[in-house]
Amino acid sequence: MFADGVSNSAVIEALARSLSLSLVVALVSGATGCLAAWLVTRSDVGGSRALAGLFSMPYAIPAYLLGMAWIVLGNPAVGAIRELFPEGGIYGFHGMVLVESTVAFAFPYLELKAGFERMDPSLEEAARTSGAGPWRVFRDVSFPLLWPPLVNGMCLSFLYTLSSFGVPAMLGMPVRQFVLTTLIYSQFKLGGMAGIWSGLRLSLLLLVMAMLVLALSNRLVGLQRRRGGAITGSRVSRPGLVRLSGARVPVTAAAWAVFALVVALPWGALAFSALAPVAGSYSPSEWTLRNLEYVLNLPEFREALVNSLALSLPVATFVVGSGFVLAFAAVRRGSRLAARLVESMGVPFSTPGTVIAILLIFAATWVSAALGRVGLSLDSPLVWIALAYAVKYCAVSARMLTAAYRQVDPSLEEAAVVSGATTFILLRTIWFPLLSRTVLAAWFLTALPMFTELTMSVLLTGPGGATLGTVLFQLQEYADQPSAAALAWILLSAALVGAFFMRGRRAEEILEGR
Amino acid sequence: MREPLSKAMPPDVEVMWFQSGSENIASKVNAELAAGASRADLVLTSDPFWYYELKDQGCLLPYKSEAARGIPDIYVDPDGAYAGVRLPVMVIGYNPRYFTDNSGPPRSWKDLADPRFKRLISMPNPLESGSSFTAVALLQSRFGWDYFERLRANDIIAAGGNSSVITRMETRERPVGIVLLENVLKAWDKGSPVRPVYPTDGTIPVLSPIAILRDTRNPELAKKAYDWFFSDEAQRAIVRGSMYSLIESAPSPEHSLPYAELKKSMMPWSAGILAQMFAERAVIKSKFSETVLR
Amino acid sequence: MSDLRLMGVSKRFGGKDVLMPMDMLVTNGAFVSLLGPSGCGKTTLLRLIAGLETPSSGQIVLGNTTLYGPGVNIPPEKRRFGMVFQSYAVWPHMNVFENVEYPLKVRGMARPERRERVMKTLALVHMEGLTDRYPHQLSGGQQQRAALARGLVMEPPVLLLDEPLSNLDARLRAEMRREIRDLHRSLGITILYVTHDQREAFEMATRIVIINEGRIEQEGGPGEIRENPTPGFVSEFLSHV
Repeated sequence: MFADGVSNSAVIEALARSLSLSLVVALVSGATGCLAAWLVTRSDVGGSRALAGLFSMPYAIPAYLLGMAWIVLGNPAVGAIRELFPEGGIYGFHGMVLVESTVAFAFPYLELKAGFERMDPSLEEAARTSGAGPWRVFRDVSFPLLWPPLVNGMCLSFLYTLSSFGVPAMLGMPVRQFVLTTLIYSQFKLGGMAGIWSGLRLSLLLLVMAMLVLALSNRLVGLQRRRGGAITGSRVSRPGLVRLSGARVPVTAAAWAVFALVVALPWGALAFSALAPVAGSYSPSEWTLRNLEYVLNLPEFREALVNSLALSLPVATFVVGSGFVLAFAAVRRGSRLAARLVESMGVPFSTPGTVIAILLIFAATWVSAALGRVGLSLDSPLVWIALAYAVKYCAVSARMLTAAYRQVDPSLEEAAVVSGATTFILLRTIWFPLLSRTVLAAWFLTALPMFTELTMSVLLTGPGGATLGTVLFQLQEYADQPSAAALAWILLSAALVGAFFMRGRRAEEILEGR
Repeated sequence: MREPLSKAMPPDVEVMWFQSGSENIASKVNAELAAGASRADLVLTSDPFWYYELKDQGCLLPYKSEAARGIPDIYVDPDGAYAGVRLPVMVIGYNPRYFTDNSGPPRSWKDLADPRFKRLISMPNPLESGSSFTAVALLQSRFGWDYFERLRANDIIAAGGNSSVITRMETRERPVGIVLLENVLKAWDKGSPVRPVYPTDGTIPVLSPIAILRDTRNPELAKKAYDWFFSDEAQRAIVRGSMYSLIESAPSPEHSLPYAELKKSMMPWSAGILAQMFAERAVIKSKFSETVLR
Repeated sequence: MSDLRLMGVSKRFGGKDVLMPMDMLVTNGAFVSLLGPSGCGKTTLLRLIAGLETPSSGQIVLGNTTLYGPGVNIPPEKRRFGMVFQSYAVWPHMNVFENVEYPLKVRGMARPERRERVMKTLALVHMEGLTDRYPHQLSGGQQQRAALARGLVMEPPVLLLDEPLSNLDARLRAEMRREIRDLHRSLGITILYVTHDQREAFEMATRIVIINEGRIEQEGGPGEIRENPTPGFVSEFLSHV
């Protein structure tokens, strides 16, 4: 009924798996994100400044690269660390949860970290001086006040996993575990012309799920009474940190170990694959630079690099900038239109990239036809790819910024307005500095996926439209694993360096070149 | 092939060449057609079923090219809607480094069902890969679905495309694979240990047709380009790309079994067979899902 | 009840000496004001006493108990001080009653006793009728009183106040100065009060410690200091009224 060649029970099974995977990942990300954010902002864990930035680095790793790397590590037959996994290695539900969580973790983590930083520390200190130990402080004061960023973060994790394709494709399909996105994908790929329609029907199903979750998360946030982690007026207050004392060494070691695991391991796996002469020969004595040379010298590589940068940086900036203004209008000016717009962005975010691409192909065809009638033509696929990126990723910044605006005491703005600031000046001199950490985090969470995006780019690309993602795809399909791994390794290293460079900084620091 | 094709066209013509996986091209073009009209003039992919469907839907411009006269009839549409331009074949691939003791690699498709190959085989997912779908269609017609039940009992991995099968062979995750010959030959050229086995019960032909889309804005140029693909120059490039040419006099790809030999045991193909498989395709897909993908 | 003693307490942060090693004695029942310009380190000193920050050296002793010293660093939740913050820090998700009740709840006091104690303390600050209100429904002055009640409800050995009145208007400030002084007299509680406003210090305190750039410039009773201000910083500071 739903789709050609797929029984109803298979669709239901895939749907159930999509939902349960997303739910588990959301819960895991929420819990770990909370813990990590607390450790880094409220405790004296060793190297907290570095960790603060480093924890968000796994997000820089595109899902398909992560999948590739974890298969090298964990495939049950020849994976390097396969003994650490239960039967079946990295494949299957638990593998998908692990890998998706390492990425989805970034959403609640960044939201909560910003939330902790924004929150007036004296609220927690008052609890401590009233006799509450760190756990109670968290339970009675921090957690209730950080409820909105936590729920928003978990919601983003859920929707991210729901619409994700790369990881379920690489870790689920080989062991016959389908989710809705991989089912949709196979409809588009081999369903013939009818497949396009049945794929779209299945996407509607996914969309309905996403909307239900969005609505639920809004209710959960709204249910709480008016929260206000107000920023203390002019004083720069440093929170009194919780001393871990005896636990400090093991906790610090554990935190760094986790970081190493989720970043260094995949990076290392890709490095080994990139340096291997042939897939499967991982011994250092056989290492060769041949694959790296091959990739760097590909003419498509240069074109793709330029295109990817030219697409991701401006589009991300535009998206985050608009989100900044839109969130302001929604929260601080009560604009219902703006609020609805922000709400609606959750829809494309939860839609699998394949579906967005197909819909944009429709749009592109109509636009072409319309332009053709007036004698114009729009040949560049880059325009449509840019649109795809913008549409898919706009939700992240809009939601993060909305939550941030809500957490700030209105008096800070009112003081400026009364002093004569116009809206533009207000945004530039008051709100931007106040929210700059969130703006930067949002930009990071937006630009990075655009830079390495594959699913939509591959469908929307055409002559002149090579992106790093499409080149990686080409290498994977037409060259060999070591070449693909070489490009993957380069991409990952670049992304990690970028993430590292931005760690913990405020937007204006970066803009001023500090 | 883009360069020589450009040279073969009139100087003021710009050849816009877009290369991707068969199924990606089909998705893209199908979506464009669903929206009204595709931007492509010519399509060339390795999924014969797609062309059958396109013709069925009236999306192709029939053209009985003189240049394609040398192609055997079984590979050409009787109404000229499309013609086979090259012949990829599906074979069994294996990594000899895994089979160092005397138990050798499989020699036939039937062998794959033998329990001694349990957990050693992978194949591309026929729901993602046209060549794999063709293989499944022909195998089930020859051996029935029991055959696939036994492949399932052997815990076959059916995921990804042909390149992931090669990778699995190289890493020895699954040292045996059902895979396109051209992937094996290309890997061999690069120093990979993988080698092909031409199954004794017949290699599987995966017809790779070329066709002109009916809504093309340049029918004359499209026909010219279409013709070019059957020229010596183009066919030589195809062979260099490790695929068989359908023209009798052409050489076979390096390291491959000569076409004359191959033909003797290759599984049969014809327009009729294509039509029949096309009619059954939904059933084939769902049976495969239920049998192997559960 | 007991004396609070600081010995050689200093704080170094980020390469800067925020507080030079200093000794201080706060006798039981005194109202000591830490007075000085912004950035002089008075708040830091208060936070060291509260346990929110750790000294770089020295000892802090309350009665017979070492709060901070060699091998000892009691966390803030175990020090039993009452503290009132500059921003009041009343929790926005709890009403007045829940805010004031919190220190008792955390320490495991039974509900009926809690209720009694909370109401008694709220009466001291004239807030008995507002138990159900949430902070956003209160004026600045009312939030201040709620914070004060929360600090007092445990009957702590010492009440620490960090510039509690700086966000109030002049009239309220005058009112609150009187009330805090009255509370001190009627409860006999030891108070350590940080401020930059000399009027507050001189009106309320029984002993004033003037701090500048991490050093104690002068200490003594209000009268003493007014009559004999140390030449240099203190006379300068006090001459601005």
